[in-house]
Amino acid sequence: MASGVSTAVPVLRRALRRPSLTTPLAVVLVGLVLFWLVENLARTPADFYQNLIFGATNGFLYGLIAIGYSLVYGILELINFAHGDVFMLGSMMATTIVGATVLGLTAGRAWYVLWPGIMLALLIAMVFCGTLNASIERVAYRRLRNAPRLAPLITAIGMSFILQNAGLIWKGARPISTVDILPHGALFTIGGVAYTWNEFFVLAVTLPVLALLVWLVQRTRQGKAMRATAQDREAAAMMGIDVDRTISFTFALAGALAGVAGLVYALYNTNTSYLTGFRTGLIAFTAAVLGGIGNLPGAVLGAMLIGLLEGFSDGLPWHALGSQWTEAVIFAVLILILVFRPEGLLGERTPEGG
Amino acid sequence: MKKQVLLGVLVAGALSVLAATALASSSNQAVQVLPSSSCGSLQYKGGGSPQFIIASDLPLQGANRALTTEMTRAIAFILGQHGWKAGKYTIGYQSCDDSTAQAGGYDTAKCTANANAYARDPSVIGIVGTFNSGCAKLVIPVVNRAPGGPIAMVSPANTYPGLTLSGPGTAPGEPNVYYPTGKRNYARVVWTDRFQGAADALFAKNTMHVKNVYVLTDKTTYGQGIATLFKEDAPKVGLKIAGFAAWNPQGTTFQSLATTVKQSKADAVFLGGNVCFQGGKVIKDLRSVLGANFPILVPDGFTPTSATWTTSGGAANGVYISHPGVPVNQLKGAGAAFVKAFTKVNGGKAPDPYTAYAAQATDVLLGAIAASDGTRSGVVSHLTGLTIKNGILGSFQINKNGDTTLGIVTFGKIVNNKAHEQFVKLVTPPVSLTA
Repeated sequence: MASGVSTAVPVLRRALRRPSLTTPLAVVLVGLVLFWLVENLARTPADFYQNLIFGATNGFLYGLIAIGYSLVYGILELINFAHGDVFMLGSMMATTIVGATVLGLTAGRAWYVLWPGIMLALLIAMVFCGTLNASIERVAYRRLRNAPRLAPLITAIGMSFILQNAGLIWKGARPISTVDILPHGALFTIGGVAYTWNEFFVLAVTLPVLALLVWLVQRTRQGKAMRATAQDREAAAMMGIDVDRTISFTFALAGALAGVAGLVYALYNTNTSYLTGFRTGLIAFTAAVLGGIGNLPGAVLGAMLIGLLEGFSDGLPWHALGSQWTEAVIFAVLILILVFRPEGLLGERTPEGG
Repeated sequence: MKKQVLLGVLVAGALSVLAATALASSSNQAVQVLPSSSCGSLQYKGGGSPQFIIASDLPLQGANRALTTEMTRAIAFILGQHGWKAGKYTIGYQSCDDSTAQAGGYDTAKCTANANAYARDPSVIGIVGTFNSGCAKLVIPVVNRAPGGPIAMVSPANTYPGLTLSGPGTAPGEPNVYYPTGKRNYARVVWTDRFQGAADALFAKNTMHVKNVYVLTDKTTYGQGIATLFKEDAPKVGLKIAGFAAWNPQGTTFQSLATTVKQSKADAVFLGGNVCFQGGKVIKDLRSVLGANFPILVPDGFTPTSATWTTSGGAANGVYISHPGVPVNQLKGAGAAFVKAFTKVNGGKAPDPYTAYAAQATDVLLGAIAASDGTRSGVVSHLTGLTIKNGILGSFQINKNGDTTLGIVTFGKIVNNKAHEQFVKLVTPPVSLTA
């Protein structure tokens, strides 16, 4: 009997062994996607490049938001569902500042008028969202740190609704327009398609912010404290790290990133509403899961993949399913990735991840 | 002891005053009012107490708030003009809201809850509404099988054909699925998208002078319906359809979708949808990819035009828009008189076209109640076949399906003026396209 059990367990384990990205089925699926992309590139290069630009630009934007989810998850193992709504409020704050007549920001103004105004709006959006996110942690999540994991999760959903309603009260139900101040001229062309200044703006803000974040997490004392707290909260506390302060700082940092994303979104998309955070937040959260939640480069990779997938599914002419199916495609890819690699593309195995 | 007696007298006095007040108020209010969770207080300025209630069912929150609240004022205004009476019956009015702030427009749960409230309340003799066809789909069948008989319902704004008709642009089983008792209790004073879709196709061909149109829809009942009708009518007038696709009403960016339109070599786009489902952003992204003056035609789902202007960040400049009906400044007779009188009580602002429809819908409902025997079934039996002579929208009949026999479509251009619209022309589509 005993020997029966001992032989059955490895057999069961073998049977339940998760599929991997190198299984024939996965290779065929990835191959098909690559073939579809190459075929579209060969048939209509201009459309391919155009959607590549749109997709990559949106991908960078999703990346900024996805990192916020990953930062908080990395340190608390909490999925902060309110993060998308913090981003939404950031976009509303940015719209308010940019539209303030005192700054005189309008399309066609000289760069020395525009950039200080944009930088001021960026700073205010970052401080606003950082403070808001840290306050949410202090008020709603800190008391539940030792509660069952479902409690902070439900609280996060509740906070999401509260922030959504705050946005509704603040700016009303109708989408609001941000003053379109970024230049739309071509920076350079690729395959006959213009890469415009407003698209470059997304990259020009996102990349330095990401570089700064990597430096902060990897090279600074505060970053070391964050990594230590993420690894083992009790051991970090024994080493003299102020865990509460470190967690607060992480939330403030994630919030500030949501503020950056809010400004970039408002200026690039020139439109926001109280519902923007739900959909964009969901996509960014999916990106974080796709890349491996808790893993910062993974969040950016996941976001880029989703941005590109969205662009290609919406706009490629040859055998794309079209915009009505884009969300279904994104979530189908997420499911496939999680089947073949539950921890995400760059993530480590966690209780949730696999 | 003396104090106790005095206190007792005071308490007894207070109680008798309270009881008298309660009695007085109950005698003033013979009707059972609709719940305050969805409906405003009972309005009645006639003599004695109202015998019946008419309720309006409109989305009072979200993008159309300013318009729908104006419509409720017009309903009360018409009731006032009739002395709060329909024939021999005294009528009170309650304005009910089928929207939520979160949805930013009508909410399906609210539509159903309101419909159940009307059905349960024996005082409700008729309904002016709904505004959205998607909401009407839910309300009509519930009030059709109301305990005291089907409740008459007159919509000032539902344009989806499937509510009254079968055939092009409708789903299988329509419209019978909405009338489980087999008795038609629904009418509308606005003409269906079948007129609008046909008129839109004619306008695109003859006025916009385009040849190859890409059709986009927001996938709502209304949006999908009018987009499908346009797609079917376009070839009949000699237009080509370059493509048919949907935009995500919760989406945030539509630039890639715009590249799909660009690839199709379309020379115009028809947007079958609503401004409150990212319609303004769709216009903005289309024009950012296809050019600032790319020809776009939108139906009345993009009203109020001020909302389209704002949400598109001004990119909607020059976009053509169609409205079923005639503009208020072109109404004649009773219509012109209504516009003049209502403008005075509306702070000097001329009513929106839909406000005139709300007024006309109220008139139709009051006409049916006046001709009835005071029962729900009696009102319903007088609704279809009702003839309106020199009404606010003109002279017309409610046919056996519940549709109006009028059929003019107004075209305007969205521009940066006070009303964000400039009149272009009126189009009456031929019967061959609308039958």
